[in-house]
Amino acid sequence: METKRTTSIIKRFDQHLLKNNPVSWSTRIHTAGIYSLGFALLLAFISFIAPNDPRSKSIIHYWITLVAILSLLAFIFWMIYLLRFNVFKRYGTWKPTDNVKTFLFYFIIIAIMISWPFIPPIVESARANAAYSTEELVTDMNAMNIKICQLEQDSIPKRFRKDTFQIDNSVKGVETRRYPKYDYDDAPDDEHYYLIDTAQLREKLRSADSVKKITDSIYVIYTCPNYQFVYDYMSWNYDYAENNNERLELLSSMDLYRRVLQNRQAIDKEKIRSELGQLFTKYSPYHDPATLTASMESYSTYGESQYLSRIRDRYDLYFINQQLDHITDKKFRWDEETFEICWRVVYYISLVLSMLVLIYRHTTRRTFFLSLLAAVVLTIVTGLFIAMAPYNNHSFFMWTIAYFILFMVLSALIFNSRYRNVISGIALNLLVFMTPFMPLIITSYYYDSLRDKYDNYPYKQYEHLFENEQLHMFYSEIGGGLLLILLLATLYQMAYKKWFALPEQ
Amino acid sequence: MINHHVSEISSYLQHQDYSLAVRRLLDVCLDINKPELIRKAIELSRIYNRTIKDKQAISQEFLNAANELTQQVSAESIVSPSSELLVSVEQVSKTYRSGSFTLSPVSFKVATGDILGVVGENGNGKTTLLRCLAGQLAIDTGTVNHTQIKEPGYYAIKHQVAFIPQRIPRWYGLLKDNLHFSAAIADVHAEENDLMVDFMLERLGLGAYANYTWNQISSGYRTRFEIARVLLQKPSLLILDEPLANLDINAQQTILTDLRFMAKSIKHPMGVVLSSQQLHEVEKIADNVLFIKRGSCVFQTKEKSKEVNAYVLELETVAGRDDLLRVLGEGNVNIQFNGGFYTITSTAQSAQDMLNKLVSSQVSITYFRDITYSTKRFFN
Repeated sequence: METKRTTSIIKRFDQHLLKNNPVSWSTRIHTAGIYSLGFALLLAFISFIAPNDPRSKSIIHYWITLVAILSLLAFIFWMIYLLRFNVFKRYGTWKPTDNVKTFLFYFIIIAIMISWPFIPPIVESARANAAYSTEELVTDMNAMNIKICQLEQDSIPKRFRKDTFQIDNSVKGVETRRYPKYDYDDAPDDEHYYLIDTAQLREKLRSADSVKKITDSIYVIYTCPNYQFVYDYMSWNYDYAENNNERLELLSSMDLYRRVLQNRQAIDKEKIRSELGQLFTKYSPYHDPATLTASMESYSTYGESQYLSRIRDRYDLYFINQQLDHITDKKFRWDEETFEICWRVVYYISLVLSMLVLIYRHTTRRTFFLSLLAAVVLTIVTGLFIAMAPYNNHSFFMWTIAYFILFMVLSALIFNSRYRNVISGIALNLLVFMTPFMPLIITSYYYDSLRDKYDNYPYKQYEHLFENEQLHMFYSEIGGGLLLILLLATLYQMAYKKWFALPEQ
Repeated sequence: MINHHVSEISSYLQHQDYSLAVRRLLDVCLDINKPELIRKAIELSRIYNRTIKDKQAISQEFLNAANELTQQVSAESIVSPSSELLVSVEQVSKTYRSGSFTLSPVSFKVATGDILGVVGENGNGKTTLLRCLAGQLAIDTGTVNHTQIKEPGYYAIKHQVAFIPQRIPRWYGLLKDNLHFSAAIADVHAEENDLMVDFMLERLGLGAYANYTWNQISSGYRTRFEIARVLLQKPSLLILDEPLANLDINAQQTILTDLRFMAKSIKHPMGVVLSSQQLHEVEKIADNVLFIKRGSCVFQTKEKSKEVNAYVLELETVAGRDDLLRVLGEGNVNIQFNGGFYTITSTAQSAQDMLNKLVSSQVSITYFRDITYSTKRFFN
């Protein structure tokens, strides 16, 4: 009953658009948009109710593959539905903004379809975040490490590693080992030392557990043994997670040393074992809280420092660390870099596909496929030219700009043509296709030329010139899309209209 | 003007030409341009079509509704617009790039309300001429002047000049949706869109097929739907390439009559150019007929109809050639037989005289047609 009513509402909306806004109707934004969003919601719901223990290894790549295939099928289905009804080829009262409107509608529909594969991982992350807060994870990991240190305080080494460093700026960032024995009392045990520059020393001092200054140019740096028995490789993310305005931090080996090992403590072993057992079972389904070991055989951590292997094996921490890795892998999947990659994937795939649809709908079928062929042939020929020409960093950019100008000139001929010419049609199609990428090409060309120009200068002298490179690149990416929209509403719209209406020879 | 239409419709109703009466009522209501009258005419047409579909006798309800609408129409007044020149074609010629065919220079004019028939054998240049006129083919010499188009770019020409090819491109989706779409891109929106689509469906007898798809209708109905679609876009000139090719004899007659009425519409008069092999049917409704032979226009009825130098008739009879020569007078006539019928040419006797002689001599005649003024004479 409800489905029938929904269908009826969609049908009524469809009829309303058909009779009042044929341009929007022809893009099928109402059906493709509604069904795409509906599928996205359904997918989110399925992902939400599907069995998924945040501690278990993610199988999200299977989901992504499956949904990507569905996304492709949906796109093909929409294409078949859309392209056979070639609306532009019917002469009517079209407004200049109609082109932009249709392009944006194509873009939105394709972007929604392309976004489907991102839904399962987003939901998985949300579920992992809901199941384990960052504060909880950090607190538990710290607690586990403290308790292990307490239980093992008599068996684990406490001696710090010592390394001697001498400042020598001639090494220019290359850490160099030297062996001559030093003539001072506190020389390193292994009788070697390192030559490093000031910048490297500054870096080492920042992360050092303890430092002893011998002279102005010689430093001994002490490194605490590793007491982070429970650890996950994405722990750096905790630095960014905040709770009640206090930064959450995983206790470092030095913190653990100071808290537990520096001064021997009297402990209630049974109580600590019991608490540790509860924590273990919280993260590992294989652990027995009584024995603090797993029911399954774990991989040996042989090869690590002896005490680390011994303790990790004793408590089967492989499972704990692995489950923690799985949780944090899901929780902290969406970092800035991943997000930047993802939006570019969606943006560029949607941009390219919607441009292809737009071009197809504004040209004859023959000219469209000849344009694709021309693009492939030109790419191959240009690639050969670039490969065989003398080395030039900017060949690619120069060829691209040259093609753009050539296509512009050929397209301009349409306005004086007496009949429809396939060459000018191909040129116009390729011109439109290249337009959104041109600002990026020109910006890249500019920075490449700049880099070449200052290649022989010290980096610091021209560093400021590249300060905003990434920002300019970003502006160029967005500007390309805006330029395309602007030209679609003006020149390109006129050129397509004129070209398509011209008589055949 | 309206009285003439009303008496015409009353006559159709009186003599039980109900189909024609309904179609004319639809036309007149559209000309009056009052939505409530158009709706009533649409409803009347639906009643009529239901009756025909159910194979029932015409009901009193229909007759009452028809008479009531006729009365309402008679109270209205409409002014017939004067005929205006639509397109002037001067010495247009076209040679294909391959050089395989040349259309020699041809000139003619089409005004609003005119129907121009283009006839000729297959492969003689009819479609080429029509495509040049529609702006689909670039012409080599001459001019095609669309006088009603203010900025005659090719887009404007193609927007105003509707061309229906012999092979109509396939439609997708529901037929009715396609009609709504065509009306909408011609700036006919909302309720007016519904009204005009319903009107066109009823006017061309397509109401029963509105919710069908392209595959579900015959080629004859496809032609009619295509005509409905282009008419919704209100073209000033309608060009049809062989529109009768897929139609049965009754449908041909109906379409030609409809085209005649639509061309002379008061609300939206237009010119019609059509090519066909159905010479007699076309000649009956066309104001001017061009006969194209091997790429040249050899005859235009409008220009040369008074310049005939012989009377020609077609005759189908069981009588032999000798009998005919005896009756019509040997030496006075030339008789040719193509296996089916005789073509009799005489410079001295008119077709009517020859028919009188044959009837008085009791020659059995199964078919007779005076083709003195017909382009049929040029077909060999």
